[in-house]
Amino acid sequence: MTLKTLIISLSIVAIGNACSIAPYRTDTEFPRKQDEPKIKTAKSDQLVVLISKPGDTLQNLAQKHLGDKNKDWLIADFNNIDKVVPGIEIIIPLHEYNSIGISNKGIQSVPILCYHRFGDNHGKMSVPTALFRKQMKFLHDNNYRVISLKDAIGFFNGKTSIPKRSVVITIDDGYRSNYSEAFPIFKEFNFPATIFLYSDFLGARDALTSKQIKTMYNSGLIDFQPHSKTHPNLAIRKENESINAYLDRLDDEINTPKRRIQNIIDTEIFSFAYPFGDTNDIVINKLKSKNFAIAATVQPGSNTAYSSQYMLRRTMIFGDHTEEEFIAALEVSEKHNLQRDNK
Amino acid sequence: MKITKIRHAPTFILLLGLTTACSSIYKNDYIYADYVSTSKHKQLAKKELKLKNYRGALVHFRILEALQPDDPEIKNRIRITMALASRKLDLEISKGMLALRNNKWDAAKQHFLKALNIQPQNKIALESLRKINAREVKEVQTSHLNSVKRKRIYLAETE
Repeated sequence: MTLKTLIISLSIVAIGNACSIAPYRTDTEFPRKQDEPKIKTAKSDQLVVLISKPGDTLQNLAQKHLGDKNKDWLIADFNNIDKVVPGIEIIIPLHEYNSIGISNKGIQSVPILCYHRFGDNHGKMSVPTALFRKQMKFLHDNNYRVISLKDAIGFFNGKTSIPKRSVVITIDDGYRSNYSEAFPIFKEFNFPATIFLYSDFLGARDALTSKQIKTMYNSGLIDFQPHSKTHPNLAIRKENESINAYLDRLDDEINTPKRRIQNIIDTEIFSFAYPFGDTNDIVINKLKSKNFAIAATVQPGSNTAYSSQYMLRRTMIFGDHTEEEFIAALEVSEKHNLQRDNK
Repeated sequence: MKITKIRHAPTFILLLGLTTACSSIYKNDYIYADYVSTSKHKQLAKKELKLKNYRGALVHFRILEALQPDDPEIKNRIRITMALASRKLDLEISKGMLALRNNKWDAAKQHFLKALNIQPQNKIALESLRKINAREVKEVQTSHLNSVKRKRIYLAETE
């Protein structure tokens, strides 16, 4: 009797798993009228609605209707699906529908992770290579979309949507281990990242070389942006420093790394990472006047479309972070009840 | 005690099997359809209107418009929904501005978020939310900087 029940139970487990291959259920919530037209595809200037056919994929539908197969996430997110199976209704919005990621269920937020160096024996600021690979694999296996900082600008400006579960990776300072340890892992997972360099560090024994910077940049995955010249706390004036001397020093700390980076690679400079994550209104106004689009602190947390663009939050990832602490840094949605009435 | 546990094991596996079966079937929530149902989208639009989720309702009306482009009733529904949305948007913006003037930050945030849920590109709501957010971040930053300055003074004095 016991053995028989055991066999039946295991069979049901097997059937259960097999059922996931055929994911259909019929629509009982919204009964259909008998006389309604049997339309399988329709298009207006706003959207396309269709019943998927065998062979349809998110990528080929995105290519056909949006002109870019890489916009597959737009169809996936709008329809709340992760793949297309034949015989389901798919809606493809042809215009920007929700550039700021707000819905009744919550508000989209983008975590920006901040690393420094990789490998063992460099203290808390260094993430062991095996742990870093494990963290990247976690992002890959759990459907996070690692996007570049540049691709996130449209979202931070409130103008363009980005995939749900977007995550941005940044690395500060420009240690050589960014190339020797992290770069192979970025290539393995095809993840983009931004390295914020402080220019006086270049040429040091432990720093990235120009050749390494070029190789990483030419891969199309890694971008380089400024992180000051000498890595001072820009928000604090030196003792007895006049306001004019302070302003001149800020100019130098912002312009020099920009020039040094553009001497090595032909990249557009659009962002700045404050040394120690600290800033004030004077530094922010300087960056605005120099046409920087965004700047980042190290205040932990995620960023919404209405976050202050010059005080973006970044969560530092340390070498002693547990898996739980890493997962906690990946907040891709803020729960917020928009049905709630104000007091 | 051990024997009882072993005896209950098949029942446990049976329940586990049933749970796996059910959850697997509905994992992706795919709904089979051989055509795009107008009645379904009419019902969904009605449901969203009831919740005053005008943006959600408009999606279904737009689908209906694509399916039946010459139907004047659908065009009329779109016009009415847009008018209702516009009225609610104005209301949320003015309530938000009032809350902002009275330094009621949480209330202001809620009104502006509601406004953005109606019209995601609304500049007044977006900029006002940015100001509220910047205020929160600056508060943390100022308190942090003060502690850094205090630490520097202390170190200078003790050296």
